[in-house]
Amino acid sequence: MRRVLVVCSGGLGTSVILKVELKKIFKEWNIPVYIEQSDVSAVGFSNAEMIIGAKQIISSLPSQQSVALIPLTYIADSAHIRNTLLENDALREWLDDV
Amino acid sequence: MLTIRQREMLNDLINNNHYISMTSFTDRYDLSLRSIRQDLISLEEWLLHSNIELDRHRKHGARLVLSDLEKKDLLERLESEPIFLSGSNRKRHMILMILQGDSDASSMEKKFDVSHNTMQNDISELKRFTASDYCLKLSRSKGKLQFFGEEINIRRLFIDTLLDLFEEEKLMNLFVTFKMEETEIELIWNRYFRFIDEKEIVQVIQGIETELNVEYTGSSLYHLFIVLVVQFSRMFYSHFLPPEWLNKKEKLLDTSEYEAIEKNLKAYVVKSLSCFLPKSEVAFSTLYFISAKKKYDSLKGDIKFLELAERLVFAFEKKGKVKLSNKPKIIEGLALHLKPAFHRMKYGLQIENALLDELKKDYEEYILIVEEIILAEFKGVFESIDEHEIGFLTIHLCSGIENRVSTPKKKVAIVCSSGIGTSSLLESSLRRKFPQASVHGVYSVNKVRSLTKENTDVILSTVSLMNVDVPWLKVSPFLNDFETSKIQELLGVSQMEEKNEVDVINTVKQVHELVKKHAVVENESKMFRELYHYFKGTTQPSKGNITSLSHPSCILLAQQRSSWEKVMVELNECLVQLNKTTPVYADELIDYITNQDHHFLIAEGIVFPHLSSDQVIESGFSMMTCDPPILFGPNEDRVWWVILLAAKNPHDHLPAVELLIDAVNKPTITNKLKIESQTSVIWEWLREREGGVE
Repeated sequence: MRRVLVVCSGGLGTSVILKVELKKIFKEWNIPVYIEQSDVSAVGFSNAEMIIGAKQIISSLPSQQSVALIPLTYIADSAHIRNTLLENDALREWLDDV
Repeated sequence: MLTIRQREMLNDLINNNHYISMTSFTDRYDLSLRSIRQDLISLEEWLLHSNIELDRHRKHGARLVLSDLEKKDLLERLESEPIFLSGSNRKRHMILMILQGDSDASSMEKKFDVSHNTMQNDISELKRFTASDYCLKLSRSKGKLQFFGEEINIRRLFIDTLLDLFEEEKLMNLFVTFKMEETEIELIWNRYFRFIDEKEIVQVIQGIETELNVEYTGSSLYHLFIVLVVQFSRMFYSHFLPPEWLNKKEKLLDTSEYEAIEKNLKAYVVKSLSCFLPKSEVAFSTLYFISAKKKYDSLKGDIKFLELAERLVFAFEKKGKVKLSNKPKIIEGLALHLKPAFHRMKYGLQIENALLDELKKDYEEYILIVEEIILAEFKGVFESIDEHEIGFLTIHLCSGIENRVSTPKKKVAIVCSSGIGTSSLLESSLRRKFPQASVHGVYSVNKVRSLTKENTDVILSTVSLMNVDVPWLKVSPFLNDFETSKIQELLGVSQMEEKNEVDVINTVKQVHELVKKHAVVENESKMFRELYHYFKGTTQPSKGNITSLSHPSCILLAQQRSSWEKVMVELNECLVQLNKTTPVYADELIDYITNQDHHFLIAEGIVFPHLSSDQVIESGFSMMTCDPPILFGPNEDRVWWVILLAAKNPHDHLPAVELLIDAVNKPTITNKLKIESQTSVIWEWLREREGGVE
């Protein structure tokens, strides 16, 4: 089971949307995931392997080893999200494992 | 027309020759003397039609002195008396009448004392319901209503109807005293099942128990009783299961249950129903007896299930990285659950898990783990397991999780201006609400520098801090709700009260039973859910429909605007009018967008501004489409659609927002929205998609 964290500034709006969209995508790709959502302040407490969010939020996070950070330009644009995910190495590995 | 209570009182009076005191009535129904007197007056009137007088005594109460003939007449009249029933119970009775062949619609009108229209409505509702839930067609043939469809489906409907009509508790007396003591049940019994001797059914079940050397649990006995009632009455009217029904169920014939059932059933069927007993019928009861729950002792022989339960528990601990407390108890409980669960899965009997939605919300992580374990390690063991069954397994397994969060204890430091005083108050509030956090010390402001990310996860401070690396939060010593929820976010753990899931469920069950004992519950699973929310201390399930989140006045289309700030103020004003936000919310948003590199541009040309803010009173949204597009924020992005969201929590607005975002990804919809200027068109579109009806 992969663990993904979705972040936004308040943990209420964009991360909620993103979570819904990501659930759909990961299911399609057959990757078993547990998706958490939270605001920026709780990122340090998460044991997620991948953090996804709007680029402005992601860039404010301290860089962390062993955690893949995926910044998005448009968090509600399904095609854009898919393309960005597929460009990420960690995610491609996940896909290879399936 | 008599009420159920009056009926019961009358029944008592008919069956007792001596006086029944007023106080025994008031005690029994917990009513005032006046109400009881009123009831007796109604009874006197009713009795007058049969020329019988109620003998009332100032001191002793009331009695009926009747000859055998009068008694018989009265009982007969009482039976043909219209039944005063609630809408849902009336439909249940209609199902029984149709099933038992007493189904001429006009005589039903009379029996229930309802208008022709009501009856027609009831019938069409029944038609819909039985077609969708039981694949049965209800239609008229020779003036009589009849169900058409597979016999097994008719029986399912029959069983479910009786389960609804007979309460477990009221029926259970039968197994103890062999007597129908509840008037309510007796009335139904006399009306529809006169040809069956209820005592004999109890004897059949007990005979099977003896034969198999098992003891069934109370609720299984109740269930089995009803199954046999249904089976016997179908057979009585010569409706048998076709031999083809047995196809692929041949295995049933080899079970020890089959043999015991055949032996016990045959004697009864031949003697009392005077018909023969085909194999398919024995198999039908076998199906239910196998999946009935036995009392714990009878599990001892079933090592298989204990082993399986043990494997499940260990796999769950490993995969979920949790340590379960009280493991032997969980394994026992799970094994007890697994046995009937297996039979359910094998024969495709589905039971609904009323808590599934709640579980999904709070324990989604563990549900996924259980699902994963089963797919990976128990393939072939669980055939066709569905999400309801997975939910049950999860409940059993999670009952042993003490700390829901598997992460190690959070290290919290407390800071206050002097280092003493209020800090101890804060410390005890914290310990009470978050026992999983460990307070490693109380510090004064000038000692804060010694706190680093290595030794501290969170600082809670009663004063404002500057230049600290560790996440910190300013709080009051009492920790109000808002602060509590903030700490919860910061620590990533939930507060104490939310953890004892099993306790909550047990409390809910008890209250649920108590309520059911004293009142007719219209929608049990809904009540169960709401009780659960109440005891869990969470808010009601989200309303979530568009009408509660927005209003046509909040949908502004094809607007010409020059400044994005004005758009924000205007959209917020719509929400202020609905009492969802304060005017300050717009200022906060404008401020944020101006000063921060905002991330609200969620797709090209579409912004979705929102903040977590005290200025939000209730969840809601408003929106505007701009023609021509406006230049939004410091980056001057060209924007044609602004959706302003006010969110109080992460769930209420979800359905509406999901819908809007879905629209963002569908060019056909966005293109339409770009040119649409009629608010009503968009409003209707939203409502239709969501199925909301005002």
